[in-house]
Amino acid sequence: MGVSSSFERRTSAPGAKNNIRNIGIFAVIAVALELLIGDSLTQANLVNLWMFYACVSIGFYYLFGVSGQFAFSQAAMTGVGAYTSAWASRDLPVIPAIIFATVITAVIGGLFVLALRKASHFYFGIGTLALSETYHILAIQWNSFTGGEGGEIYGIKGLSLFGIDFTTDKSAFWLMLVVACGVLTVGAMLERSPVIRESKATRDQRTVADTLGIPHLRSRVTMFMLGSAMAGFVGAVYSHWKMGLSPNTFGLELGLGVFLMVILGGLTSKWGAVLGAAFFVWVPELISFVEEFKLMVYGGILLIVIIRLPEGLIGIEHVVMSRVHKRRHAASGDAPTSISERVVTDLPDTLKPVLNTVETTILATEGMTVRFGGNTAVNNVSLELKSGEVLGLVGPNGSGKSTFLNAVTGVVAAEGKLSIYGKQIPLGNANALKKAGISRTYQAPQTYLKLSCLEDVLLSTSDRKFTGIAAAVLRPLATLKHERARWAIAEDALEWVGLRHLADVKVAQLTYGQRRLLELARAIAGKTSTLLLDEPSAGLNGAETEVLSEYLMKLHAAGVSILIVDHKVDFLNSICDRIAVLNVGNLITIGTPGTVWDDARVVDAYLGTQ
Amino acid sequence: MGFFIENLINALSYGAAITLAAFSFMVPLKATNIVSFAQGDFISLSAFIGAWLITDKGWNWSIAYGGTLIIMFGAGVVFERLTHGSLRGRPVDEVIIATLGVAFIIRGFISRWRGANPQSLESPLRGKFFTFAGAAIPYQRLVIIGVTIVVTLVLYYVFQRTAFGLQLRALATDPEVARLHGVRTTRLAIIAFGISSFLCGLTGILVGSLTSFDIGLGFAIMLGGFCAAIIGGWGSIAGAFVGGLVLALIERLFGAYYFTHFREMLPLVFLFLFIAVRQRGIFRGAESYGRL
Repeated sequence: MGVSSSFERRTSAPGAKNNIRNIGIFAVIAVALELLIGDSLTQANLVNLWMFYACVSIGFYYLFGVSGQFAFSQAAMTGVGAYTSAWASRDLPVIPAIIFATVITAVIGGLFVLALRKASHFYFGIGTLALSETYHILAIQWNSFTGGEGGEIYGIKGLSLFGIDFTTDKSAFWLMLVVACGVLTVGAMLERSPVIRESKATRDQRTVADTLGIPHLRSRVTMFMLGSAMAGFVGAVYSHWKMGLSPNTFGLELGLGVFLMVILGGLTSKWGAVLGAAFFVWVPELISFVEEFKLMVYGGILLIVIIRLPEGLIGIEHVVMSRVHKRRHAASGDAPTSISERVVTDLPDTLKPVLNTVETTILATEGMTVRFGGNTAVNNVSLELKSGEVLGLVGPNGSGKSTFLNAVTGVVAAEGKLSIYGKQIPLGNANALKKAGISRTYQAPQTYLKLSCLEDVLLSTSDRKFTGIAAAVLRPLATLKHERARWAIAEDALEWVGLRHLADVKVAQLTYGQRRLLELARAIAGKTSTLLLDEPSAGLNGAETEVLSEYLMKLHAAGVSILIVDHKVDFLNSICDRIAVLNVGNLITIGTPGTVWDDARVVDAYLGTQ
Repeated sequence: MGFFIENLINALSYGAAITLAAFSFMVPLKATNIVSFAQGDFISLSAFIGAWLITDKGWNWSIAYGGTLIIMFGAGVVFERLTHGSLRGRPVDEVIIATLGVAFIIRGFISRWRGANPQSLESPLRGKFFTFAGAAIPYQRLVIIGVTIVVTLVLYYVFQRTAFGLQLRALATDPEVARLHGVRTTRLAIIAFGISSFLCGLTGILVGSLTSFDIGLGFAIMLGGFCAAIIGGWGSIAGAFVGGLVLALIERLFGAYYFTHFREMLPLVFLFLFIAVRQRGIFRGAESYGRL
């Protein structure tokens, strides 16, 4: 029963299964299409356009679907790449020009997000609309750069390699195939790195991501750069394939088209973008009346899909698969899911914190005050958490316990001083706490419904080396090595709380009690030496609360210091070394479980004056 | 002097038009927290409907204008049912994308129906102007300014002083609680979208009768409207009015002298600056809209 290395360690990323196979299938389908229908010039062009649009919308999938940045700028970024490459190729050979254009697009995208880093979701969207309009005006008016009146240019240098000109639709097929497979491979590399799950975490709950130590700005900036770079790159290739450009190629229609492609295909996978692009290219061709009513059909489909099929075409497969899985789960439903029957084992060595032998004060607040408008929720609270102790924080409803915890972890704005291991740190710096090995849980479990349990636990990793996009693409092996180590720790944490059999199940399918345990697993999976728990027993019954206190005792035995906010007196008495009592925002007393309840002020706070 | 005054009136009437556009998405925003990206195409649609009623059907201009506004109100109702109404409880992003879908449909419909040729909308004031200090001032531009001032005052009154306005704001803050307090949320949302399209209709008719127009008419005005609303302070009626004015002076008056070729970029640059530095605009838009 104990956590041992007896179970098999995973070697491939849960999200990246079958990627190589799927890219192979994609290439085979593309080649088959080219051989079957590529004889006709229109169809050869369409196959190439399919791959072109697929790349643009894969970039958009990462930027919008994964990173959650509402942007209208994807088509414009494609145009920026195309015009920049056309301009650069006047003096440079084609390939350096393409690389230059890709870099420029990424830099513009990065600077744009940095400039608008404080903009809220919707403002950001309008900002991208303005960015795309700016591109349009420049493409039409800035003739000295584009090299043609109104942005219409011809005679761009074509790409020629090994004596082959990649400028006819037939030969450009192989170029576009390499480009598309390259973009898909970059995507596959990202999927076996922490990039995707951390972007999603930032997208879904930014404050929680902050307390987990995920750098949200880096995530947003680099994902936007990635999405823009993919667009700029294929745009650049496009300009040398077509050898001519018009501003409207990357105009509003494509700008809205990318939304159609990713949403129709499905926002849950990059393959959705590939499917959507195929649809975008061929449906108007196959159904002749569609061409005439193209925009109306696109709009109608977008509307129907968003209302009736929010997961897109890819989602159809997903629905079917999850039905199959459910049946399988029902068949093997003997998993130990009842929390109250759990046998709690010692904390495995991989999760044990590295501890100072010297006794110190881990966390100290001085004059911590939180005001909501005119209401003072926490008033001048000074509290210390010593190493190795379990400190309870109690008080009637509304006494400011959770708010105090939120103030310490930077979730709400506060005044006062906070020091960690004797060093004062500015308030609101969630990352400093995380680095000091301090993790927290929330009153209502803040788990990520759209991630798998394993991914959720992985978010709190303390190993932040090789977590970025650049590492994923340039150092794939080192990234994978670190990922494997992270998986092992996360699986140990899941095993310890008894959820390992659910590692690949989406968090949304978990029960409330399971989510509590998952959050506990996540909190301890990051080399955690100090836990801040916000009402961990809320919503648990008596037996479950006992199991919880066993878990906490094991953590305590392993040397983890705990600050616990709760209501249940027996529960607290059984685990706490000291108990602090808050009332209406004020700290009224601190004492041992044996004495604190006899304090007249505590009796007064709970029962009122006699 | 004549050049200056002409450009000033030009700028003011342009500012008035984008202020109307800003109002058109502020009303549903206030009621439902949804920002519609179809407003530009609604503006174009109304101009095309007006031109069709007058030119093809031979209606008198006053009846045609009224007819267009009624059709637009109805279109707004249908729009609400298709987007906000069908996607209750879903993420705001999805509703916004649904409005994009409707934008596609309208745009496709117009180009299929009327083609890409420039259209013209008859107006009794079309081409009439008076001369003042050497400047030719078209009456139509003064009408745009006048109508906008009236609409601003009416909206201000409705939002701040009537039970209807209070209910709208309650709906935006928390639809569930609003419903529990007896606000008829569905009906209110429908009315809000209807009014929004009505305002688009007004904008389209007024601007469409200035010069000939094509399908791109609405998009530029919508973008201007976004800029005006953000610069003025999101959700603030007075802010949109001032924002429209400021933008118009920058683009049309300043831009008439400097950066002539790139003058359309000037408002965009200002928009960037405001989003990057002072998100809540000149008038500090209401708190609840700041998180959008």
